[in-house]
Amino acid sequence: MSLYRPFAARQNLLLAVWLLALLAGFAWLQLHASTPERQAPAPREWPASSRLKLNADGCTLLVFLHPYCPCSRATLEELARIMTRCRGRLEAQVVLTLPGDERADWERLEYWKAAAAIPGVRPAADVDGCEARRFGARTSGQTLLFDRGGALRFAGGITASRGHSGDNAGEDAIVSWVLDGVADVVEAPTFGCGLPLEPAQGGPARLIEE
Amino acid sequence: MRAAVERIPCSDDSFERDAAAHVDEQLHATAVRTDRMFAWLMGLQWLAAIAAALWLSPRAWSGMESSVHIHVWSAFLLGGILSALPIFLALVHPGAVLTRHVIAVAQALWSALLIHLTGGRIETHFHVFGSLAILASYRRWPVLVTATIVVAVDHALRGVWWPESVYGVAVASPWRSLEHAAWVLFEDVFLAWSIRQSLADMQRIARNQVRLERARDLVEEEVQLRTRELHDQIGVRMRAEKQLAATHQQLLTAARRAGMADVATSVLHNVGNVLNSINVSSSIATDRVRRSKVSHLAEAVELMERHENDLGDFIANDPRGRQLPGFLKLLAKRLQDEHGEVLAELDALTSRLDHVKKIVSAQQSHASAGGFVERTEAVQSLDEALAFEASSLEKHGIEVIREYEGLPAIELDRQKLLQILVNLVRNAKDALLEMPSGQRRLTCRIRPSGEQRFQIVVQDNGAGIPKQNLTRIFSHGFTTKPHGHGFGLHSCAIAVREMGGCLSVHSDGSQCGATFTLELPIAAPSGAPRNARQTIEADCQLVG
Repeated sequence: MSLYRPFAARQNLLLAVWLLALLAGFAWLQLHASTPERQAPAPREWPASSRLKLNADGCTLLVFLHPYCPCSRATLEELARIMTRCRGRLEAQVVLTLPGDERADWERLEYWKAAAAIPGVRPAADVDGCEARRFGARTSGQTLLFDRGGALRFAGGITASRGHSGDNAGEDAIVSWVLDGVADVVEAPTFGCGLPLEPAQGGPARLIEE
Repeated sequence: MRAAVERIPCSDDSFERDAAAHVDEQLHATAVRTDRMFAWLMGLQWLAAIAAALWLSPRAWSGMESSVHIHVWSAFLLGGILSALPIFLALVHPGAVLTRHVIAVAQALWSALLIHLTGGRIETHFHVFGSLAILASYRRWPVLVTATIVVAVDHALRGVWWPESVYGVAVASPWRSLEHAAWVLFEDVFLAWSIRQSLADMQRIARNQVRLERARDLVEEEVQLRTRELHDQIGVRMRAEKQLAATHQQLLTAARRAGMADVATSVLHNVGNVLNSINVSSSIATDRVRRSKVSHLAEAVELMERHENDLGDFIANDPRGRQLPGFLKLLAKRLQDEHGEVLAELDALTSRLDHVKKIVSAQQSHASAGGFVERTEAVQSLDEALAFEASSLEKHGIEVIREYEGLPAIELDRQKLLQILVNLVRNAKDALLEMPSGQRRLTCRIRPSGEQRFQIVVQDNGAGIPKQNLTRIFSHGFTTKPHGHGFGLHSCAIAVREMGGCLSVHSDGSQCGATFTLELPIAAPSGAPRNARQTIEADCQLVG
């Protein structure tokens, strides 16, 4: 019995359609994953009005996250790698942004707990997104690096694509600056969900830190 | 059989063709089985991808507005398309070449999709290597090439258009590509080597299988040949047995007829002897009657009637009348003598007729159907046998000595025992005829033999049996008598065997007499009798 069974032309057509559909599907998926969100310009200096604390002994890394954005899980993983590579020469704050009337139990959020578990990282809740607006963050995953003098050294994302962990230009730039004081790039695309920046009706802006 | 197996040719073209066909068959079965396994796997991967998307990235957010995440749609739609064709082909065209290559393509793309859905987790990259290993189940290295090409093309395309998604940086390093490819090739090489080893094993097994099949065919041919021969032999043997049975039946009939002839001869002989005596007695009586003086009495009566008117004067005065009283007296005495003689002859005649009656009665008893075990006395049977031959024994002046020891009643076939004893007594009588008259002696003994058996010994001092004949005396057809048939002792031995006993003979040679010892159980043996004919030669003791 022959192991080869010839396929009819109709089946070859089916095969071609299948391959094309897959090609289109993967391309569409990859296109979506590789398309960064629009960013606002970040302040060149640490805003004096910010209630976030600048590290006077070293660099400060701010990571703004949407608490429910699934793409930002990769950002936290990359943050953990950055903190490891910087060997304690960097302080980081993960700022979770939410409207004031959304919920109050920040500590129970997945990203709060994940951020708190990374050495050198402090989670904070930016109620009503006041700090996000102050730092020009519009996309979950937006990361800003300030030196001890409050000067902005890097702004952008720390994932190579949407929700995709792995080597990326942002991570390399931050680590390079922290360790060597130099970096090839100062900006990188940010991949993530839009941060909730609309203030709640009547609620005061608050910053809740760990 | 080993020699037959060793004769199997293992190097000819047909052998290699058969072995190759076995390998192809095995490979096809493997392909079909693996296709169906992948059909399940494709479905499971689809469900797993949907579950992973719903778990990891169910919704995409824009502020506080959310919608279904693109990963969910990708898992559902793209994953569905990805699995649909492989499942279809695996079910409709299992084992086809294109089916497994489509499956290889789909499996490699499933790795890409799952890696994407899980956010590029390092752990998910193991899916690539796992898929290659599973694809190796086909035992066909080309499917590995197909899957590897898909991985390479995926990396190449995304490296060109979206290098960050592959290498994390916008400018891809060629060394990273080589590193990625090297790991895949690393596994491919060892999987291909493993497939090659597996194929070699399959070919070896196929050759062995062909060898075994050919050996089995040879064995079956041999078995069929032997079976035919065996059937032929069985047929020949059955025909021989039938012929033997027919011959045996003929011999039995002949023996029965010969026995009947013997009996008839014996009866006629004995009855003839008695009839001679009867004839003599009858002739004597007839002669006496014929020569009777009764007619003189009638003459005297007639004379007296003529002188009835002057009978007194006639007797007193006539000379003839004066002799009449004396005549009558003499006549009366003579008639009384004749009466006594005739009565004596008639008594003898009656006695001999009674003898004939006894002979006939004994023969009727002897000839009646046997086979019935009954309670009897050994002494009675031996006496009957002797009575059966009594006239002959008496005629030839044979002295009969009876030495009977006390025995309990026995249970056996009385007719059969009588037949045996008559035969032994008759043989002894015949043997004694060669001895001079006055020295003929027949000794009959009855004695116990252990607690459960007894012996009847018939011993004569007659012609004896030469040693060379002792071993054949119970054989069928052997006889030393001029007009014998050789059935008697053979039949006796068979009958004894059927009764659970044994017949033995002892003789010191010619003119030394012979002793036949019949040993029987006191109670009839239970169960069916053994095949006496088969064991007679071994069981009858011949004592020389």
